[in-house]
Amino acid sequence: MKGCITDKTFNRFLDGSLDDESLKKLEAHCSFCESCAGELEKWKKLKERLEKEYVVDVPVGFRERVMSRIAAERIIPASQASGAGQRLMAAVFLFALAVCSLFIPPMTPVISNIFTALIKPFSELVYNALSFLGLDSGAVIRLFGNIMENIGGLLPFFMTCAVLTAVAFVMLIAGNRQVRRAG
Amino acid sequence: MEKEIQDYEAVNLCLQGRCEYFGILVDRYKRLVYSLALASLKDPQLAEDASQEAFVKAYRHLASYNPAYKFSTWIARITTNTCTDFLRKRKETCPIDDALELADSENTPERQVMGRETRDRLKVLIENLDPKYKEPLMLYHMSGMKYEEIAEYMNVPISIVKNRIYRARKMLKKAMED
Repeated sequence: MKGCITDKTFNRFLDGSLDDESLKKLEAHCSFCESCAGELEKWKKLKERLEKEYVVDVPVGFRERVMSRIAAERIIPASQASGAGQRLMAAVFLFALAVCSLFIPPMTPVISNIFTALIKPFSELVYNALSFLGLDSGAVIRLFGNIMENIGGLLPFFMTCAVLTAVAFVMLIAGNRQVRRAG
Repeated sequence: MEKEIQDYEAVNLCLQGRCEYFGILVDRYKRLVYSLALASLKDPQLAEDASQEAFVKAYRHLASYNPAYKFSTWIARITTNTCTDFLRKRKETCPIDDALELADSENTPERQVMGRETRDRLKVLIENLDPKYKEPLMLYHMSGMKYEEIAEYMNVPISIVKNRIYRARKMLKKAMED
């Protein structure tokens, strides 16, 4: 029928979000339109059944039990709770360690070994790929060597960038963990 | 008439050392917290333990509560995380939407006689709903959350929450008619 109530309006009626004017219109329409009156009844029944289905009774004395536990607790200060201090300390420590490792000679071979171990599988992959394509891998390696030889002075800069990126990742991960913990 | 204390005001009073105001927050959100815990853990005793733990955690971390967000969604997330920890301890998983089975176990004989068949049918219908419809429906009707709170909790726009609850109801209504 023309002017009949839509499902969306019935749904809003169920939520109690219809304004007075719309509510009056709905009631007036349902008073003479049997179809809509029937629909309204069905929506009302559905709401009633959903409320019965989802009924939850909080245990008696729950509030008192929580409050008695609260009495023995203390609120953790924000700076401690957020862990900002610890994160800053960790970042500073990592940065200092990274800078020291670049300039203290005994650390250089250690860093070099770690770096070599990391890039070794990649180098093998590239070498095999070049061989497979029929390219002279020796020429590429020589070219790479020449480049590295010429930009050797920039190595500390690259390493600092890498360490800073790692620190940023650590801080991001720590930040996400904190967000999860706080809710 | 005494003015109703807002959530952030209660939080501020607690931070000033007046912990009795936390009781207002417990009263306001105990149903939400308990229903979420019950839905997740399916065991009334365990749900109460988890609910208490969630409130205690919330109290301990009140200083880190950001008033830009609703307290309801904050405590709901703490509850969800607490329940996850409880489930991890128990080494078993219980989906949130299986709570209906538990609600059924609390049926009285009268309720069983009156419309048991309808209830069972509705229960099956709800269980068969897609989780994306089932979860907001549960949060709205069982936990008593508002659309805005559900949207913040689920991290989706409010229009999506409204639409999903509307579609869930429509599907249930149609299935009940068939």
